[in-house]
Amino acid sequence: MTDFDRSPITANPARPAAAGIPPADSTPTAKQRRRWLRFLILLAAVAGLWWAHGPVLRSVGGLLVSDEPVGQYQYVGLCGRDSGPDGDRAYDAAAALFRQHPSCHILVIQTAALRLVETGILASLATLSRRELAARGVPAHTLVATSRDGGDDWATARALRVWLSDHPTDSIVLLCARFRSAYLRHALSAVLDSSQAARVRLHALRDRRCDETDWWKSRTGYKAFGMECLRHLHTWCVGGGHPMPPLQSADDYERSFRLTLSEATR
Amino acid sequence: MSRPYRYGAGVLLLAVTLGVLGTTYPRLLRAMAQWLDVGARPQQADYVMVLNGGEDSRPFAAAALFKAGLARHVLVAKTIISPNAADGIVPPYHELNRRVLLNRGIPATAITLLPGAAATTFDEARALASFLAERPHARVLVVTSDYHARRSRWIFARTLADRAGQIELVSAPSDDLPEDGWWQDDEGFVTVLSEYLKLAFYVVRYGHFRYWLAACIALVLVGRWVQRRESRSPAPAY
Repeated sequence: MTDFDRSPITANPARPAAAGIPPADSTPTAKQRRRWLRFLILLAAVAGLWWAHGPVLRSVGGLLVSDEPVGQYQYVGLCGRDSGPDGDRAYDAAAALFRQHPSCHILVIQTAALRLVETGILASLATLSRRELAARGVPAHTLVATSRDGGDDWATARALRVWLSDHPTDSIVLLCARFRSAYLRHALSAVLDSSQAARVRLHALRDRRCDETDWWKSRTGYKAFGMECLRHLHTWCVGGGHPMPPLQSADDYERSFRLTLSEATR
Repeated sequence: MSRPYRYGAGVLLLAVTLGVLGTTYPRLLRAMAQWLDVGARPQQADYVMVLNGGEDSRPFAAAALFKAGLARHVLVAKTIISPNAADGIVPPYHELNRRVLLNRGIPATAITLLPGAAATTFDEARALASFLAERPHARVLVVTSDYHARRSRWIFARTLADRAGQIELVSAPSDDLPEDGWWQDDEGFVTVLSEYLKLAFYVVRYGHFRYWLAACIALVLVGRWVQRRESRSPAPAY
């Protein structure tokens, strides 16, 4: 006689046939063993993940980074908005690259018509770069500026397409924020043709607060990581490169806000 | 209902849902962004406070409120120094706000810097709470970006508690968030979705979410227990 035959559950004649369950599985010991096994596997998986969370999160963070060997270059590119150039300590990096190739130029890709620049509250990126690079020993005459039609990476890529067409033999090392680099590379690959894209190398600057090796340990890190993941998700869902409407001037912005105020209080 | 009918009904329901979503998604997405904007119609107040961040819109809106005579003073909370500010490349956020306000014609004497080193909206709310502690009857218009208004209201309500009635949120239209088609632009997409994620995080981290979660887990466990009990009871013999 088997264990199954002695089982108290199978003593009920209605049960195994009606439920269609294989008889051997319905013994409480087998069920319990299976449940324990599942629990242990789950526990092992959780423990394994906990133990290896560092390498796992590092690898995930690494997916957002595209740091490329700089090779030979004639230009070092800086881009940014009103909070300075993209990438931490970008001016130090630009000056270091200039010292490696003193014959190179610095290309500043600035956003046209920023409200804080228009009102004179902040210096334009070109003016700021000239000042900061001069303080780091880079002569002012090496700096050239070009404009982009928006503040995003797609606008940078469009500006570079025009610039690369005008400079068919030049290569550029573009400085960018570390977690932004893979997205920027994606925008460049989508906007530029392959020969142009090959002439742009990205130098993904490490942030002094966090990078892909420790992004999960700080608020700045997981915010930057999350934002960039969402940006990739956007490209995956919608695509990229939709131009933004032009910014209102400071006076127009204030006027339209006052108009909404008067409409609201009417 | 028999099994094929049940599957058929499920597929039909899914198709209808997808069809409705497919035809109305622009309206749904617009509503999604509008839900974040809980800015109220500004009333006469004593102070207008500019939240840091969004320097190209918030201080301009605060200046407009001041010039419209809706407040007599502007408050700005001092912030922590960002790496670029520490290197002297750009001024700190609160200084940028102050410069915009001065540029838009607000007299320096009407601008008050709240002490501290705010890193988050919570810190700014705390700075305002200590400012209001000595002014129990003052009314404040808090200016922030439209997408940030709901989270700000939640934060200020939690921080100010019974004094929350003294403030009113006013939203400044953000350039990164066009009313139509925010989802087309990557900045708009990231802004709205990250705001929802932040809201969820705040509710979990600072709200009553853990009690709800505990109640849900308890409910699931009771359900499982009932289910197991029923499956153990012998089937009726016919």
